[in-house]
Amino acid sequence: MRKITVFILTAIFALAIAGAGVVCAEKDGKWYSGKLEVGATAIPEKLDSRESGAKGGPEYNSLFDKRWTSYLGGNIEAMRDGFAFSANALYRDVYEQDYSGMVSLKRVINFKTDYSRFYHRLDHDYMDNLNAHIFPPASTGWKNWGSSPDLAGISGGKTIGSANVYHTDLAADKFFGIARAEWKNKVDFNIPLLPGLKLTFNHRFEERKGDKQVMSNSKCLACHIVSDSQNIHETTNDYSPKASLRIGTLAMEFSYMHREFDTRNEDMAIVYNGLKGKELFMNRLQYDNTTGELPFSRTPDSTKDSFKGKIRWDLNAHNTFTANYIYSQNTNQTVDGAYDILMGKFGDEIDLHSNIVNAKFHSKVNRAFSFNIFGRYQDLNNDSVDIKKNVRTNPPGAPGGAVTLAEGYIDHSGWSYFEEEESRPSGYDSNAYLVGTDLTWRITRGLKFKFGYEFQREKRDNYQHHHVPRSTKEHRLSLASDWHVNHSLKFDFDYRFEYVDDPYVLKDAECTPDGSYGVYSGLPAGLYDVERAYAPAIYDERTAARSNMPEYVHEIMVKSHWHPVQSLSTNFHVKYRYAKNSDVDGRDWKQNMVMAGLGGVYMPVKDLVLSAGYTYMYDSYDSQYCIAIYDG
Amino acid sequence: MDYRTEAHTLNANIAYSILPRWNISTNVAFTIGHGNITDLDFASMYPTGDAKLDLDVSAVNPDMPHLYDVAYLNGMDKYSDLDYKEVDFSIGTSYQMDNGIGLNLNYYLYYFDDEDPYVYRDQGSTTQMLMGYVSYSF
Repeated sequence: MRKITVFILTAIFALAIAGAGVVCAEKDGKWYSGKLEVGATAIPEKLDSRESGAKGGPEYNSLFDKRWTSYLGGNIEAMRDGFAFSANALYRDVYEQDYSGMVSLKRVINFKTDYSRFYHRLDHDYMDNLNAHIFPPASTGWKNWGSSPDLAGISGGKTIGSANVYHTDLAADKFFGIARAEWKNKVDFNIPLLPGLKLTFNHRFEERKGDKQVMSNSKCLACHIVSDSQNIHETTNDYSPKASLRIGTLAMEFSYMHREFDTRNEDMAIVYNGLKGKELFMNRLQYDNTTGELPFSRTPDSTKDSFKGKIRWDLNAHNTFTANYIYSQNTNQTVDGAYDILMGKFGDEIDLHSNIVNAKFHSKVNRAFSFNIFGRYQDLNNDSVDIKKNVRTNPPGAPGGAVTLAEGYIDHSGWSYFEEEESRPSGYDSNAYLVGTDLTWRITRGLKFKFGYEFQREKRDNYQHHHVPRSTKEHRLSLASDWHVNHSLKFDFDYRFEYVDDPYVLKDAECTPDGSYGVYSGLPAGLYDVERAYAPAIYDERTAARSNMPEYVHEIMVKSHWHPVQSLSTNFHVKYRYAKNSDVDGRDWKQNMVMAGLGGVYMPVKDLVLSAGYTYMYDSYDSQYCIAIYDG
Repeated sequence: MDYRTEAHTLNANIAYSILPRWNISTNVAFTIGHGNITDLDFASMYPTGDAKLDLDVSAVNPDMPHLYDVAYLNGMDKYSDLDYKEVDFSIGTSYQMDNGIGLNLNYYLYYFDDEDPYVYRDQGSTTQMLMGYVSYSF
């Protein structure tokens, strides 16, 4: 794809240069113009390895890796006899490129293309915070196991108990970054014989290539985080034909979009704690009861298809009706392979469906009064994920009898198994509708008042499975005004109030409904019991609701614009938001946010422009914090 | 607990045409950012009756007699701390001659001070860039 891209862009630019050569002979015609740019970029000091994850200016700029890079750019524009052409190009580095072009033939056919590429430096999490509960023999500090995943180092006095949280970085010296390229093409056909008909085709191609840090996680790997480098190569292609038609007062638009997301990422797998030859423990990490490597950081291929229809009907000069319908389907296509146990539904693609309908009626009653009435309906239907588990039975003597470590972790070939199936319905399955109105009243020539109200109700299909409210009702009220005090001073006031009943909460999020801390009695006895789990000692004790979504929201905003003289323009804005949720157990959840800013532009003389601005942002949340217990 | 983020951003720009074909411009942006979790207030809670978690480790650390107690987190005065300063500065000039040839020179300075490195370690850097090119318009 890159070769095709480069070829086409080169061809476009070559045509541009060739065109320039032709028109140079006719320079007096002045139906062309262009510019060529040649130069270089110098970096006094390259980024060193320590700064490879740097934030700020270098984060999205690859030029800081080299002392010298070229600067080659140019553009050309030409227009004659209904033919228009333009091309722009800028090459600075293999990761810093921008090209664009346009061709128009008597406005019947219009073609636009745009290509850009840049590099993004990614973070490297060194996981220094994951050294909890690793005690060295003489208690000299936290133990960092570095890049050695060898379990042999954890023994004797180094681990008191078995509550270990530690990490292994298999790519400790690696630096991560992704090169992102995007190519967009659009062609319009305006059919001369049908003046109201316009056909459009859009194509978008996106590519992400590079390396990123990935971390393993599973039943036991949650306590021993293993990090590695993964080679990334992901492409996205969007194909979007569209037809627009206007007949008198009726305008219609129909579009379809097909998206293909393909990954050729490195397949990541890991042998937990380097336990090669110690299958007695490995096969308990997943419920497939197989041994060997465990997969992680897998991204499935997927497709998306969406259909969209829009209409606008101008009933008369004062009344307009608009509506649209959108259907979309997302499909997870990676369902086969050796690790179905991690991927979900066996042998079938997993589909996500949604339907959305919007409608709005606008009426301008007179010069002083206008209103909108609008509504929206949406439903989401997703496939359930079916899980099959291959569960081992207890070894002889467990859970009641005395079982030694050796008996508990005997060779898996001597165990018996039973199959257990589980279906996990989607938490997104829901339907929602919204109705609302907003009214605008122009009281005087300089004063306008707006009032708005919306009501939305959302019902969730699988609320019991996910321990969330069955439905949520939201009332939103808004009041606003525009006040032009005089020709040089203007104010905007805006107030919003929102009441949510019941807000989205997780009903079994923490231990006790009163927010105090319950007594954790530890896991059930029977250390080698296969059924030994966090429930009931931990999970079943969680009966209190928590949320980070608001029940009440107050938001107020004031904006002003003042230009006392023609050479000076100033603006000021402030916004305050207070949100609270008392519909939780324990302490309320609260948010306080302030955003404010002021700016100005001053042009004392024709050739001098001075501008300055200041912005302040403060955002604070008060919440109860729940600490998880890790009991390996 | 209290989770708070705060940022101040100041920017200024000057554009001046010294001569009809000679322009100069400069821009500076200064940002201060803070973010942290404070006021951790956990009541003491430790597992009881568990063979592993309910272990007396007072011999190793008398201040932390239980292997696992969420109140140990109260010892942190700040958590997930973020504290940085950032300056972006640029100055550039361009001169256009009568014959279509133009000269352009720009200087950029990026300064990022990561005052409380966290899991990503120190992400601060100071970088400069000088960019010059000749253009020909036709």
